[in-house]
Amino acid sequence: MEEKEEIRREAERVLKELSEALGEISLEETYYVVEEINVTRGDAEPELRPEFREAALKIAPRKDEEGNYIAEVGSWV
Amino acid sequence: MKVTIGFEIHEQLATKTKLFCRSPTNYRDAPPNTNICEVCTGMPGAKPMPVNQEAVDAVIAIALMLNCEIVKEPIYILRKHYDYPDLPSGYQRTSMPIGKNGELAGVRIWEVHLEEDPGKYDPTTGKVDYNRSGVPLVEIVTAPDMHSPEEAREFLKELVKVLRYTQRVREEGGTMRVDTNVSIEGGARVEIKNINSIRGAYRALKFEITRQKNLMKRGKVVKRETRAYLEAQMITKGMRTKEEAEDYRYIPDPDIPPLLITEEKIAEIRATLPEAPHLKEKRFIKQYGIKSDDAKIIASELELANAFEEVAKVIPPQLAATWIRDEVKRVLEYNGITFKESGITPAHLIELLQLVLNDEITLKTAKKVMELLPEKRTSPKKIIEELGLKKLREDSAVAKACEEAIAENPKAVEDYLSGKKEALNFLVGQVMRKTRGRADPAKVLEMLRERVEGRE
Repeated sequence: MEEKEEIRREAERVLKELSEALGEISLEETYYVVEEINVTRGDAEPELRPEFREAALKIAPRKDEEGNYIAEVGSWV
Repeated sequence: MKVTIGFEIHEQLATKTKLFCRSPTNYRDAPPNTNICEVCTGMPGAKPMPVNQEAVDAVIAIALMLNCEIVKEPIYILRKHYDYPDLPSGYQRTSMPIGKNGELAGVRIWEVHLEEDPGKYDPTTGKVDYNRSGVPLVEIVTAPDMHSPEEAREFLKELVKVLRYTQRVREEGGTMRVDTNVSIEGGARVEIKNINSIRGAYRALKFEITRQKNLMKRGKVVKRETRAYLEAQMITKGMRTKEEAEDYRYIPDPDIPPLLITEEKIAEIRATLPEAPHLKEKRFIKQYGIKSDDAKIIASELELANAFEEVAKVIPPQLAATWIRDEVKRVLEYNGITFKESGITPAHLIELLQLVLNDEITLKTAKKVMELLPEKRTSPKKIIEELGLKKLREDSAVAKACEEAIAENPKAVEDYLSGKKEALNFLVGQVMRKTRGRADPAKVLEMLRERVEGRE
């Protein structure tokens, strides 16, 4: 019985300490776990990738001879 | 019935590469789906490159020109989700506001954002071209401060002028896209998409306001929706019911750390900004004493305004202003080009106007030379020499032309002598034709009068 009471007191102490610790945590919303900012790049010379175009068009479900993908026609037109 | 109009304006920024990859932005010269890569076509697993700094700087410059406060808090790049064939990844990246609370021409600017362009989708054929996908855009959101299509048109004209002044947007023209919100008191707000020009915005608003008024007159409800502007038919047509912000499920893009704009960066960009067009206009009137209409036209293009200031250092300012307003603008409009594209320089204008002021060429010749300047791209003196347009000074050549004109037109001589004084103007025209505009018209008139009246 005394052992049970001891466990109860111990549990209450743990909860109290945990509650105090949680009170110190900022609850403001954070977006990132890393603190990097302003990761940018210069506007360098552009890069053309003809092999990518070829590969991308190859797997296109529908395309035309000019190289357009063909999607559904707009329902409102 | 009170009409309320607001805009979301998108204009492409003048960068060489796209916002999150190194694909080129010059898609107009490229066959469909050429300027593309894994990033701008949203291939699974493709990560964006860091943000293009040039595009960020451009948006800061535009926001400053629109009198906005620059946001000093971290600016996250968000993913705006929607499902449409022009959006290969299923979301469009758009920044939180970079500028806020600005003003232009009496219209409040709510927000200025950096955004990536979607691809190009033709809903009538289903064709999709991703060359445009990922090209950086500035998005400008205005308050609903306009109350008629005319007011809205004036605002857009002023905005285009300011954007061009920054020299940060694409020069080709035709890259502006406008979404407009329009509502009539008592009705819901309707958004119109797919507007590509100032004229298109004006026509779409005219149509939409009439449509809404007619619905209300018949006791029907104007529902909140998004409509497409069909340019060829000049009508708007319902696309879908209007999304709320939560429908887009905005989330910060976990691949892109936020931007934080420092005071130093703002000061650095502010130092590069040109004087705003409306301020330039006022200064021209005060400093050079030119007419306000002339100042407005001259300040409409930065390069033209700069050229005027150079010319006005040498030529009387009002003469320079009148010449630019009448002749330079006439030639630019005829050729459908800007002053910058024309190749005309301030030195050309100074040389040409000095030839007129020194009485070395007639006004008619000067106008002719003006027309040739964009094509020849050389000095007016060279054009005059090449075409033999110098004013005829020898009286003998003019006298010979006068004699011929009199001999060839006896009816006009007879009319003049019988009291029809305007017949002499016809003869002046004949002499000017014979001398290819090189004779002084006043001198010709005098010589003709002497000769014709001497016949009596």
